[in-house]
Amino acid sequence: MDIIPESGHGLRMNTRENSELTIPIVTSVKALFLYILFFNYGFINPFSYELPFLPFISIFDRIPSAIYQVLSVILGFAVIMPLLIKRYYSAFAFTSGLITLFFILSSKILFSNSLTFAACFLLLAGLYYGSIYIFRIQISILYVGAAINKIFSEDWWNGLFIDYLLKDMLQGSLYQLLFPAGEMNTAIVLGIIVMLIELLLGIFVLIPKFTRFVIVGGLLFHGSMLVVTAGSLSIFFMYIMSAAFISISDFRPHQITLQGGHAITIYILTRLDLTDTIVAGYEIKKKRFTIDKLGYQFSGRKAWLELIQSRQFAVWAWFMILIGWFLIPRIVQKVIQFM
Amino acid sequence: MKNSLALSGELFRKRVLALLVSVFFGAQLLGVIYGRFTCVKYFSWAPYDQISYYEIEVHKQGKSLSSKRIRNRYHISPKNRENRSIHNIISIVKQYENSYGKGENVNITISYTINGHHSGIWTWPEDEYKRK
Repeated sequence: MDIIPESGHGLRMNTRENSELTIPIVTSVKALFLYILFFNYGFINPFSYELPFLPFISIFDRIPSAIYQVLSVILGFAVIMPLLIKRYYSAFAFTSGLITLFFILSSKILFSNSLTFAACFLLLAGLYYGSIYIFRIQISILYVGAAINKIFSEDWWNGLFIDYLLKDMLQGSLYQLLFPAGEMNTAIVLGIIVMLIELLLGIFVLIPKFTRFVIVGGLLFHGSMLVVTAGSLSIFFMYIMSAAFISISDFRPHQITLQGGHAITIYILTRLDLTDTIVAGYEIKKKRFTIDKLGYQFSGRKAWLELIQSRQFAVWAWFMILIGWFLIPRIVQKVIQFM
Repeated sequence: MKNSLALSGELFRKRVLALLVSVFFGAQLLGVIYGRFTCVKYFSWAPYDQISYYEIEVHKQGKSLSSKRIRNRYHISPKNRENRSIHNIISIVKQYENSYGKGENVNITISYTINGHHSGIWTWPEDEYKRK
């Protein structure tokens, strides 16, 4: 497989499997497919929601429910199929983004900022015409919009919002332990810091030379929110922004070619890979599981160790941790209910 | 000749896509600007800029509706936390009463507290706000 450097960030892989989007964008798009699949699984179940219901556009009320049920199935197909066949990412991203936005517009109940952002991002990946700048602008609009809304809110300047969020609402948060009741100065400072960070992220994301600063800053920002609120807030945003940041990064994992071993192992590993840089080799007769990376060959346990140390695994593990963080408590709760 | 045709076709495709993307961003910017002039915050990229606790009470023909019936009616919890503007919740109830529930003659009270300090009540059919 030839890897041809593309102008700007990212690489364009010259393969039949992936000829339309760069590696970073493919990784983002696949992570967002998983976001719909795991965080918003109701969308792909045709019987989860009764749509339309209180749509933003009143004419949507005339659309028969059956159309929405069909669209749910198409959405499920659009987010699962590309993960399996590893092709047509643009078309599937466009379809899933459009359907998700259509669902949101069809019911005020379904609206959420993180889901809307994921849908916008997928739609943009579908409209991608070679300029990575469209993703930068999308991220910028989100952060600047969020900052503007806070800047015009009095409660963000006098510390009321932050103090209430961290003290009264999130029982047992770090803030509650560290700061006594009635102490507003910290809340005021935290509020101003949040507004400033959002504004700076929104501006600097437009300047390519600050990309690394924005990604590190953004992840630290969302990560610290998770810590301060004891994991209660920002998990959705941590996930979608992680996906979005990859698209503007120069993420270039080395290609790993898998040889030998069980066909099923090879199939699963290539499908779990979010970057599309783990590929099946042609030496299928080899019995022992082997990987080729940067011209070196690793077999057996060393091959697995090499895989676990790869950037592909790091990205996969990161998104799996976030999915697990969200899903595991819910699954445990359901199991306890049954018991 | 074929090459130049393909090239101009590709250029045209890119221009159309760029136009679509520009319109898409324009719509989002309008959403942010519009959000400055309205209390309802849907497409203005305003996550977690206000936190409210609210409680919905509905009376139909003099009888109070149960929590379950309120949930079935509006598809939202009758007593919960809203991580966006409280006016989003009010707009849901208001839209229901102006459309699916029109003519049912219900009396609604939504009591709310914004950021733990500003308390108020919204009533229907008056569509009025009162400070607590």
